Amino acid sequence: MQRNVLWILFGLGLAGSVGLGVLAEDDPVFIWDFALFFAIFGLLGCLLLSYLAKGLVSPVMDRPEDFYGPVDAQNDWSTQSPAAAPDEDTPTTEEG
Amino acid sequence: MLGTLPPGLILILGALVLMAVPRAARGWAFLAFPLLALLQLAGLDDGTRVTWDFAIYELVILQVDTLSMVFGWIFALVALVAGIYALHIRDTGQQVSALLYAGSGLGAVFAGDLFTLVFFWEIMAFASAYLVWARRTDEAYASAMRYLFVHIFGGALLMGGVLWHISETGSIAFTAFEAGGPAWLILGGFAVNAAVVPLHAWIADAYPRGTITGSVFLSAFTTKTAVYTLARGFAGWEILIWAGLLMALWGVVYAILANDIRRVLAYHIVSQVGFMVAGVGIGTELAMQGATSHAYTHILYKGLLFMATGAVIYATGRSKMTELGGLMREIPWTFWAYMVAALSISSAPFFSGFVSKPMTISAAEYAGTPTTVLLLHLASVGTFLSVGLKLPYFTWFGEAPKEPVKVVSIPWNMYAAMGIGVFLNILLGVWPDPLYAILPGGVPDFDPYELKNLKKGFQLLLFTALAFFVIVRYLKPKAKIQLDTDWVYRVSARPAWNLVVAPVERFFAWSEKVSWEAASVVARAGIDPVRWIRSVVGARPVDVTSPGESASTTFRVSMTVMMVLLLLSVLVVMVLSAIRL
Repeated sequence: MQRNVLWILFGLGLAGSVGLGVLAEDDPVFIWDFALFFAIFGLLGCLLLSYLAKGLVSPVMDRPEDFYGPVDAQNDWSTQSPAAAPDEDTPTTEEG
Repeated sequence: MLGTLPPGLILILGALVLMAVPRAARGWAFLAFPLLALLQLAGLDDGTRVTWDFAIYELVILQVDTLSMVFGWIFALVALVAGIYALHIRDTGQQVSALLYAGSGLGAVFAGDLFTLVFFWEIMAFASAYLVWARRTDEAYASAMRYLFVHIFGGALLMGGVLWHISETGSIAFTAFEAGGPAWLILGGFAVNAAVVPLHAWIADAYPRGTITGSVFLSAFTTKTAVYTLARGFAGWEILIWAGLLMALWGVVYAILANDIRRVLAYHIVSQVGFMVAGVGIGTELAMQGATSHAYTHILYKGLLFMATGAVIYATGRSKMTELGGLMREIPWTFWAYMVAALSISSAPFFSGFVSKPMTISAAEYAGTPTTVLLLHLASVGTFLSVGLKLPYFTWFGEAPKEPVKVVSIPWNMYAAMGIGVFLNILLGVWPDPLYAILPGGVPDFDPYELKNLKKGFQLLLFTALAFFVIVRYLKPKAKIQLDTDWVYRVSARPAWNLVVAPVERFFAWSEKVSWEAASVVARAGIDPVRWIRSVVGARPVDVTSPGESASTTFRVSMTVMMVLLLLSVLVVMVLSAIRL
């Protein structure tokens, strides 16, 4: 229910921004001065960048997290967050 | 009250005072110094100059003009807000270095000469590295070392350029540079701190690894000081337009792929600073005002982004999107604070970025560079895609992670600081006049709330969102890292070590071993030389040991006599030769 309301609001927003584009039509100076330019640009730009990143860069540049060694992939937050600190009731190995 | 004491020095002296303050009061005492600096800034007039004679030079440790004041205000303000965010920590090293870092940043933007600039520049590098070290894990330690090496390299470029510049011109004044060898070196030094691609990898390496509170400070000072120095020294250099565009796009593409939430933000620093660098490159008055105001708003929203993601890390002890998700029920307020900052960075209407970023793009329109305009718009799309949509979707919504997240409550002061950030970002978005009034060159000839700007803002963001919801599965984060230019020095480190350092180390190890062995032979021989000589030549050991007498003392008297005779003969030879001379 709430989800549908959000989608309807989103749809109204899209329509509103297109309407704004029509309203804001003044004497065109630049190539992008027409009503729907930035709507199309936003839509295609998002797809283009996603493809550029996920389709072209990611296959070449992705590496496992420990590529630079196990230390580099440590990601230990126990010094920063109580949520990551070891549980008090969990027995820890005693030294010696 | 404080005369013309440079505001940066207030914080640096404050760092010294802070060490003596008792632990429980230190967090609160910290806040006093940015407040004092803000008061001091309010009392400084345009054109104020404080000089200090040092050797044969007259150093200008304080030079006030409109450009430095914009940066001065925001630096002192963000130090105060970040101080509130860090109120709960009990770590002297971190608190002192944060204040030292903010102070040296402030010192650098008010430096009137190149030596003073280099001085504060170097303090900034060391003080900021500590904010990464302070996390106290091996990963953070190694990362901070790399960070420091890169910045020392940048500092060396800057210092080399400065000395060369002085030897050519005889002037130490920090003004716009003429093209030439010294200027290129100095530009290189500034480019390292501005995270200009390909010198940018340190930022994505170190900032996600800093402490929760430390990275809030880190996001504010280093890159923006560099933007200030570029604006002062290199306005209108065309190469900066291309450098800025490369940064803006490189940053967004890598941010789409990054998995660590603060790495996404770090790449977006590269991208946003790209807008500023491009603005400086365009160099017109509106472009400079765009770059300056964007640096101002950037510090506000980027600080808030790091505060909100820091709060997520504090609450969950996790930092990767693949290990987060579904947090909206647990920590909803961090989401709303984050979204205000995310809408600001995406320059959504009524949020802070909207009053600054379109100004830079508009300047590019007027400068007649359509490629620049379109590529900057594309970078804007990418910014909203990764910071405004992907990161919040996979952190607060999306699937909950397989391993359930344990959530602890967030300290009140972190919420308070985020609240201030939210307030400032919205205030500036709807009422930019106070910022516009302090920009260099007066109130800019730009109105963000013109209908056509609103149209651009709404259309770009809403249709980007539409595309995102269609392809959201395609953008699912992966537990991977992406190679970046730091690969060059991280992978080559081992072979370079083997080639250059290892042979020298092996030689020293060998000579140390040999000298210890020689010493041990001499020591053993010295205990009983006769027995040693006999053992070397293979003669039968002398059996002179009588009860109560060990072999080593058998020849003690005769040996002593021999040694005395030897020493005497040496003495005689020396005396004789002295007489002959």
